[in-house]
Amino acid sequence: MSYRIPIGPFHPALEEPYKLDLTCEGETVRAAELHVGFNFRDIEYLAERRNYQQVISLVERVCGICSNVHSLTFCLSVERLLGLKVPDRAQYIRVAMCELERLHSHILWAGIAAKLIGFKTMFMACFAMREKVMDMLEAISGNRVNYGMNCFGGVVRDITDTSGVLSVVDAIEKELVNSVIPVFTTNPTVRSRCAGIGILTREQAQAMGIVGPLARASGVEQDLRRDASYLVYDRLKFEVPVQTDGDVRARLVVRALELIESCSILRQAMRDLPEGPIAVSTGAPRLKVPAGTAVARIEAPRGEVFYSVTANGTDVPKRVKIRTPTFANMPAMQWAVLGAQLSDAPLIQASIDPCYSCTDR
Amino acid sequence: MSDAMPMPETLRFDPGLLELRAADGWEQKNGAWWIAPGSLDPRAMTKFMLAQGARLMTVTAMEGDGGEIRLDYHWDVKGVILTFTTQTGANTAISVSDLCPGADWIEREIHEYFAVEFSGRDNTKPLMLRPGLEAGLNRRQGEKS
Repeated sequence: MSYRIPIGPFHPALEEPYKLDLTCEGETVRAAELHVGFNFRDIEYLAERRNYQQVISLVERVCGICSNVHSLTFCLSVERLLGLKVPDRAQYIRVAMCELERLHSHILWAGIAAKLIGFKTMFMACFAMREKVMDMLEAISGNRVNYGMNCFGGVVRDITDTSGVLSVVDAIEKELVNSVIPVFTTNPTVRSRCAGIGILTREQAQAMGIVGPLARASGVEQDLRRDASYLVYDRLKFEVPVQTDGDVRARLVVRALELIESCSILRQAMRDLPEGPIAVSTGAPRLKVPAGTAVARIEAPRGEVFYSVTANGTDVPKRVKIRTPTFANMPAMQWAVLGAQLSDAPLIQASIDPCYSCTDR
Repeated sequence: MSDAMPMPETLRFDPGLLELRAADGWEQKNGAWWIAPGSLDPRAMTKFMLAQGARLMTVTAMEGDGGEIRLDYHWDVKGVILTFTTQTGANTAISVSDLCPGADWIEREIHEYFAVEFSGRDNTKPLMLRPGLEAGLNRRQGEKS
């Protein structure tokens, strides 16, 4: 006999609201239905009623974690329509912001995963580490969440203390190598909680079109920084970690290894940061954008963020389409929990690293 | 899309299409390759693109002056974005969600924002909106200022 368990919209695993209806037989999950939209703000509608400068601030509110990615992807789209060439120094600073944001996001996720696994000491360690990254983001941008760094043609603040960034990177990497990665990759308790559960096969991942670390943990080799390079990623050396097991442990390992790669990219960006301006002028304060459609995408911490911006020659966009990674990834959860134990369901859904603020926009 | 762009009436869905020739109607600009045939069979496009290992990134819907909705199907092929542009007829389009599971949420969202009906679906359950709310939330026509 089967029975249904409604979980949410206020969820035990995450602070964001969504609802999951699980159909179980005994302790085994046989079906899952996902309900979203509890954070729906219709930011796309709002973006078509504000001028371009206002939309930068608006889209930064799509997500409280990868806020920089949203304003940056919007700026990249508009810069294409304007034909703007962004100075090299600004490109490196944008890379640094993206990788600091990835560190912040992955470490936050690692902390939440540790808590759900039952490893609260690691949760505290991760959140202490994350604080260092947020302090650095604040030192650079003046803000801890919505950084306000991007403008059309570059960035609004410079990085003047590269050694400060490097010292944080060194400290983070040391903690990752000494404690976080060994725990997530070799600890028997973590392995027993994560290995072999929540499996998404490569075929399922491809059928759903999932993106980011979730896809890479299922053997799908895709990373826009390498495959569709933007900013100055093609000048930087880094690996793209891929696992093939497709389970919760594989997602842990991929994200842990990506943290090390982000540290490496940050070091290179600070080492190679060229002299020069941090932005080019766009002229009039109320920017009018030539008619046309441009697209841009970025490898955000959770995967591909995609923007399509259509201009009609005025100072207000005609259309701003935003596709966030969780929108692509979360439907796969309905496959990942099939056959799982009910008690594993919270960890499986958290392993996708969902963001409902992004999904609901 | 550019007015000067070639507009083939029908697309040949064979591997030669991915050679992205201007003669076939492809145009590279603003971050993607674009093609806007006179008519587009979304199901033939989807079968073809999936067979090539492409990933459906999303579909951008945008209201035109006549109230019909322009649909841009964005595909990723080995790091390159290919966009197929078409338009609804009588606010209806053909669903591809049975061929491509990732299209399910995309079509449901477009239905809610622009009241596009996707034919061939078993149902179009609410996604962002609560049950009972009217579809067409982002349509401009008839909008009060």
